[in-house]
Amino acid sequence: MALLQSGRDEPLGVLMARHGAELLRFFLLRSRDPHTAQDLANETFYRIFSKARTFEPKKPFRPWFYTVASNVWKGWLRRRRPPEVSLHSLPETAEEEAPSDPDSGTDRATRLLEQLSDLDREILVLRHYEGLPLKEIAGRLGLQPGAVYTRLFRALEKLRGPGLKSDSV
Amino acid sequence: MALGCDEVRELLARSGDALPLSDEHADRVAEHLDQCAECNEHLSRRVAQAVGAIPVGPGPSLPAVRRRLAEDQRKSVFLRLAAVAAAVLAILSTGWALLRHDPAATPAPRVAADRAPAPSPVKPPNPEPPQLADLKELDRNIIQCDGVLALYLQFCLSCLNRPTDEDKREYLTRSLLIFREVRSRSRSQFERGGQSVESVTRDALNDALQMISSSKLASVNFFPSKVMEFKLEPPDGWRSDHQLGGTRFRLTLQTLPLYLNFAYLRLALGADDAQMGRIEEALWFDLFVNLPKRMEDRDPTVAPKAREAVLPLLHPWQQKIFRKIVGPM
Repeated sequence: MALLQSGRDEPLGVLMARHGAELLRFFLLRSRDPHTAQDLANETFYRIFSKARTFEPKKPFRPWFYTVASNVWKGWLRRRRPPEVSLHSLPETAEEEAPSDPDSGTDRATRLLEQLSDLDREILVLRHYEGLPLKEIAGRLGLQPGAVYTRLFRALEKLRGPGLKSDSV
Repeated sequence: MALGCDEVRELLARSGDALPLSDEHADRVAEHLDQCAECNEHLSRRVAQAVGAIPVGPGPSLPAVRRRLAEDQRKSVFLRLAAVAAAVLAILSTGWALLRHDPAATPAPRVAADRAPAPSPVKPPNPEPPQLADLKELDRNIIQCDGVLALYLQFCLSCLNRPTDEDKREYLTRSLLIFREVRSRSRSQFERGGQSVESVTRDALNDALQMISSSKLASVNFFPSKVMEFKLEPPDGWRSDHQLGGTRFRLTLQTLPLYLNFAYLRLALGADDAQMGRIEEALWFDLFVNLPKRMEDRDPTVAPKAREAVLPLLHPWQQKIFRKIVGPM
């Protein structure tokens, strides 16, 4: 971060290697769309570089990093519009792209996340990325703490998938 | 009754879709998890493991971020230079206006005199506007690319966003600067040769998108992330496939009429930079707004409005040519 603050961009590669996959999961959980997740991850690293001077070295990196990511997400939500344009003949759907590999990481991620409701994904984000206690998550989402625990447990079961249901804790 | 750590961890270790807990029991488990650091740690590990197992595709792209940073830097230098140039121009023109100030003249004739085109040293060209087919290939390519770029920048404003008046004005100012910058790059590409008009135009659209997206306005912030493909569709159309959010869309539009094509007008009217600047500004901030939609609707007021906006800026011999380009009303 000190190098980034001095205006050099080489450490971005290191940060991407270290936090890139987890950041992608953060945006995947939020958006369920791999393309959007990648765009938003790029946007986050761009902002990390641009705002490196606002980072205080004595404070932990992760909360600052995910605050930037959350702001990127909120900005995207604000400017998001339905993918349509107002011209009569638009949008015309472009020619179908070649079918993607159903076993690719992005497709498996999409299928996996489709099993989770918006609320489940929000609980996962608040718990894993923001580190909130169950009671606080419950307060934010208007649920009972027990309901948060039950939803979290079931979401974890779905994420583990049929092939991963051996003991994990 | 308080729960013990063993019981909670046994619950955490369970697998299966069903979780046989009553609401009250689940609340007590949640309470224990929040209060017991070790059990909380168990839960965090389990959540981390499950989230970490979500497969991901290609990660963030360092070259993409670097491109954007470089673009920002370039744009900031460009905007600073533009601001300095504008300030110098404003000072010079104010000084010039003061020197030629005629106190006897009433404001109205002065305004009229200011709007009239300056005496042109350019010899009147052929009074007939040139046919596209008669032009050099380089000029034809520049004209095609210029028209698409202008229309696309306006499409992004009025068809994809719902701007406030203030943001609309700001976008129009920025986009005209971007249009001029990208146009000169495209011209250089055409002059170097070796690239098709379609590939240069696609690059131009992507350059423009990148420049716009690096300084979005609050109410003008929805842009395609990338133009994947651009194709001319003879005789008078073009289409582009672009990535918009997570979806790929096709935009199909008619070619900009020649009487609104700046590159063509410059050639046909023999206009110099200053005169073209005035023509571009008169059209860009007014008739061009929402032009893609008007063209799609075949709005019959476009041609009359173009005449209304452009004719006062032309010399009489240029007016004759422009009327011929627009055609009979």
